[in-house]
Amino acid sequence: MYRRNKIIIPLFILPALILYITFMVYPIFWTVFVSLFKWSGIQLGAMKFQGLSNYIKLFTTPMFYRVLKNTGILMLFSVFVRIPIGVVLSVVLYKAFRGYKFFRSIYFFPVVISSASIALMFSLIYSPSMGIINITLEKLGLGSLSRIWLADPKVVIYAAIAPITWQYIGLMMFLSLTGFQSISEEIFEAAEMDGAVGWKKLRYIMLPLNWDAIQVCIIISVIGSLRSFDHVYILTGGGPNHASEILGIYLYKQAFTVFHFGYASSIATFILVFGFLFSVIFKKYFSVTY
Amino acid sequence: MVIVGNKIKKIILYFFLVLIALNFLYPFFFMFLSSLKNNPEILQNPYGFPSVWRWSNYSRAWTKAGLGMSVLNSSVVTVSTVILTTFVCSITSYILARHKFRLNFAIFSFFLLGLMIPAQGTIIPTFMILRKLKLVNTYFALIFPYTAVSIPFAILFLTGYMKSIPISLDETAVMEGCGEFRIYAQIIFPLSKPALVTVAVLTMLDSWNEFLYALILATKPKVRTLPIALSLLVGEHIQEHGVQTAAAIISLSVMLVAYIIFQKQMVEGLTTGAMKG
Repeated sequence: MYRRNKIIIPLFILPALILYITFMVYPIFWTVFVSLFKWSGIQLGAMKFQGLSNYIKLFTTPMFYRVLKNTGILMLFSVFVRIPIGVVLSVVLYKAFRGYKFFRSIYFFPVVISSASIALMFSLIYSPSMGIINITLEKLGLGSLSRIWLADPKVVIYAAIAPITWQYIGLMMFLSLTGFQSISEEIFEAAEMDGAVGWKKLRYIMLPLNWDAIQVCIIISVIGSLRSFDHVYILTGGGPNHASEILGIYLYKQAFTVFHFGYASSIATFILVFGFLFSVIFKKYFSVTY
Repeated sequence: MVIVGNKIKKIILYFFLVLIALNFLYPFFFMFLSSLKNNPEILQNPYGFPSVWRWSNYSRAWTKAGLGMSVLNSSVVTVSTVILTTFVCSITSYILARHKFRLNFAIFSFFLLGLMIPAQGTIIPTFMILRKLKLVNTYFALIFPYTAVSIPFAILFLTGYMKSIPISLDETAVMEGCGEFRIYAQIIFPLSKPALVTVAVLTMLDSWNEFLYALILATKPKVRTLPIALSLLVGEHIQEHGVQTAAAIISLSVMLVAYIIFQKQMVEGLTTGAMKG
C-alpha cells in the first residue's frame, strides 16, 4: 500500500455528508424531539414541552385506531395477497423457457410508473358513470353490483388499496427471483432425483430455501404499508368520512391541514419505531437457517 | 402420451402467463385508448378503438392542464438530482472504497442507516429548514431532499462496486505520477460506469415519480412537478377523461421509454434497494 493523500478525505466526503445530515439525519432526530412538544409550527418560540402527552393523546384517540385498522387491512393485502402472487409468478418464471424474460418485464412494468399515474388510472376505472368496472357490470346484467366505489364507506378502503396491491406484485416477483438465483441448481436437481417433484418440490425445497427472500418481501410490505400515502391520498384523500384513512394520510392531515406539528411528529415516530421494531423482531424470530 | 401431456401443460402455462400479462398491461392500454376519445365515446364504446383519434386531447392536456410546465419542472428537478447524486456519491464512495482511515466503516454505516428512514419522518423538519432558507417553492426545495434520500443507496452500491476494481490500477497510476484527483477522474470514475448508470437510473425513477415531498415543498404552478399536476386532475369536478388520461400517458411514457432502455438497471436497483432497506 502506497501513501494516500489524506487531505482529500474530508473534501470528498463532506458534500454528501452535509446534504445527508441536513435533509435526513437532522430531520429524523428533530421529528422525534418535536413529538415531545405542543407546537403549531408557526414559530419555534411557541413550542411547549409536554413530555409524552402527544403519545398519550395518540393512543387514546379512537380515530388513531380506525386509521390503524385501515393500515392493517392494507398490510394484510400486501402480505397475504401480493406476496403469494409474486412468489407463484417467480416459481413459474425462474427457469429459462421461451419468453420468460418477456413475461418478467411485463409483470415488473407497473413498478416503475409513478403512483400518481397509477392512481389517476384507477380513479377512471372506478368512475361511477364512465368507469370500466361499472360499465362492464352493467353490460353483464350485474348493474345492481355497481356502485360509487370511492364514496361507498363499506368498500372504499378496498378500492383505495387495490392499486397498491396490484402495482408492486412485480417487485415481489423479482425479489423472490433473486432468491432463487442464489440457490444452486444442483440442490433442485438432487431433490428431484430424490423424488421431490411438483408440489412437494415447491413446498419442501423451493419455498424453504427461498425464505430469506420472502422475508425481505414481508418486511418491505409491512413497512411500505405503514408509510403508504400517494395512491390513497390521490384517490380518496382518506374519505369519505375517514373511511379509507391510513397512517400516512392521518399524519399528513395532522401536520399540514390542522398544523399540529407536535402530534404529527409523534405519528411519524410511531411509524419509524414500529417499522424498525418489526424488522428487528421479525428477523430475529423468523430467520431459519437450513 | 407424455409428449402430448407436456404440450397441453405448456399451452395452459402460456395461457395463464398471457392472462396475467394482460392484467398488467390492459389497464395502460385502456387508458391509452381513452386518451383518444371524448366523454360520450368512452361511455358508448369503452373497450374499442376510437372512431376518430382525438390527439387534440394531448395538446389540451399540455396547455390547459398546465402539463407542459410540469414536464419542464420535473425534467429540471430530475436531471439536477441525478447529476448531483452521482457526483457527490461517487467522490464519497471513492474515498470509502479506497482510503483506509479510522472512521471509514463508521461513516459508511452512518450513510446506510438512511435506508431505514421514512419520508414521513423527515418531511416536517425538511419543510421548516427549507422555509428558513427561503427555498420553499424553488427547484432546490426538491433537488436537495431528493439527493439526500438517494445518497444511502448510491453510496452502498457505488462503494461496493468500486471495491471490486483492482487496486493495482491505482498503484500503477501512482507510479506513473497520478494524483488522487486523476485516479478518481480517469480510472475509478470511468471504470464504475455500470454502477453509476444503475444509481443514475434509480435516482431518475425516484425523482420523476416522487409525490409526498413535491406535494408539500413545491405547491406553486411554476415549480409543480408532474405527479402533483396529475393528482390535481383527479379531483376536478368537470372531468374530461380523455384529457386526464392523455396527461397520465404523457407522464408515464417517459418511464416507459426509460424502462425499455434501462430495464436491467431498474430491476437491479429496486431489488437491491429493497434487500438492504
